[in-house]
Amino acid sequence: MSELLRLDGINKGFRGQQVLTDISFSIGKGKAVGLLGPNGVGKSTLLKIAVGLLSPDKGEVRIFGEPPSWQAFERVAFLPDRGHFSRTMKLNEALDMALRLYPVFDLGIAEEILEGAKIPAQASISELSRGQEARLNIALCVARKPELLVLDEPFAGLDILSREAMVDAVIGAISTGVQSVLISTHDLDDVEGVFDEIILLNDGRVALNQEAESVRAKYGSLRQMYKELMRV
Amino acid sequence: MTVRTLMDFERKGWAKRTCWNKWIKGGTLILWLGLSVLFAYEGWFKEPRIAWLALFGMIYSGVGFGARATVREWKEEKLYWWLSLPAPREKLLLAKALVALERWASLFAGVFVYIALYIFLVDLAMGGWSWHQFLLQLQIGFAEVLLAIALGPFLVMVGMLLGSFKKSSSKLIVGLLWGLVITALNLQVNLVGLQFSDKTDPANIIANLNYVILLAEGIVSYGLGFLIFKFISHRLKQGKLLTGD
Repeated sequence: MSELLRLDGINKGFRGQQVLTDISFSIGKGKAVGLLGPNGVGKSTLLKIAVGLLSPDKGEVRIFGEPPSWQAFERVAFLPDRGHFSRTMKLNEALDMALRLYPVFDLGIAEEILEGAKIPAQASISELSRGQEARLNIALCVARKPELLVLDEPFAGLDILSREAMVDAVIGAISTGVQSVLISTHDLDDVEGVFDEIILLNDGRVALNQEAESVRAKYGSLRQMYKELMRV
Repeated sequence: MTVRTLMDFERKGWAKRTCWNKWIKGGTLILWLGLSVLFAYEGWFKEPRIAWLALFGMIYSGVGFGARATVREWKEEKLYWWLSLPAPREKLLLAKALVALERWASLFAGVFVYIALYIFLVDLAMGGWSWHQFLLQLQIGFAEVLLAIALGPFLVMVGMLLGSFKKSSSKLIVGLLWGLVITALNLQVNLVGLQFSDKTDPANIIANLNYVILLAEGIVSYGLGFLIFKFISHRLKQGKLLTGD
């Protein structure tokens, strides 16, 4: 199957307020897809619907050709926009636990990503800096070697070095067996060259869904495209 | 993935007590024990068995333990990590419920031992200690243990349901459900109490629980606990619980 994820006519609202309207797109094998849009446009909600953590009011989601279920999480790794794997665990405890929790977990990949993060062995996760915890979180996702890696705002609030490390981890994931990546972000500086496809959300609708190459050809850069389309 | 692995993951999430916290709590309990023995020796205590009422209250703390298990997902922001573990929702929930029960049961057992020791020492200080008297005292505690076994899993599930909702109106509904349990228990205590001329002694009433009513109550509470478990896991599968929807 070449299509890993398909969303058809997704609608979602909270307490009478419509957040997403008629969202449809699909993600094929081997693609790095950027989900772009301003804060509060519904990117996080859409990603949670895509992996089956939230149910849509209307529309259909298919992961690997099936409706979302817990089995999909054996092949999908989801990194939420905030939150901790566990606040009280130390680094080694978190890695040991990941080895037991996930059917596939490559400790070597995790350690490679964590190299240089200078995480103190005795510090619990809640005591780590934002950059350190972000690196641990991406390591926990990428080391699972998922077929689909879904990352919600992985670069938000990180310093330049941490952002670069995160981007390297994502690029590394693509080259070491992760089939496809879906990343939501509004921070385009570091990921300009990473994406194969772009989905732009505005006012809860898909404003653009195109190959990144043709976007770059038309607008010069993703950043320029974002500026022009968001200004309208 | 086994339930045991998920339980280990859950256990890691429960806050670890700091060294100071342990010393302060332990010291307070020993101090209270010492003062009680002293007061008993001075003849200020008449009915040490009233201490068993503290254990009776502990039964209802099961709701708090259950609520903490689910509220913690929000508070510690590990909800989406937890929900995206590759395991059936029933297994995730079962591990959570078992660890909450385990924590509650270990605290309950600790309080039981403390009260038994307390009564032993206070009776001794009062000069009226005998094996027969002590076993009669323990009878009250064991009746409470039976009550805890009958109601515990249900109370923990009610707590988990209570902690799963974000809306205050939903909490009100679950709160009312909990109120029903207390009403049922009061009814039971009153039914048993009718057998005694001394209706004002709650310890006496607890010690003489009607075991047929207790068994019926246990069956109903386990049934309701199971229904709540199925309800929460069904809503989790739909992505409609714990997620703010």
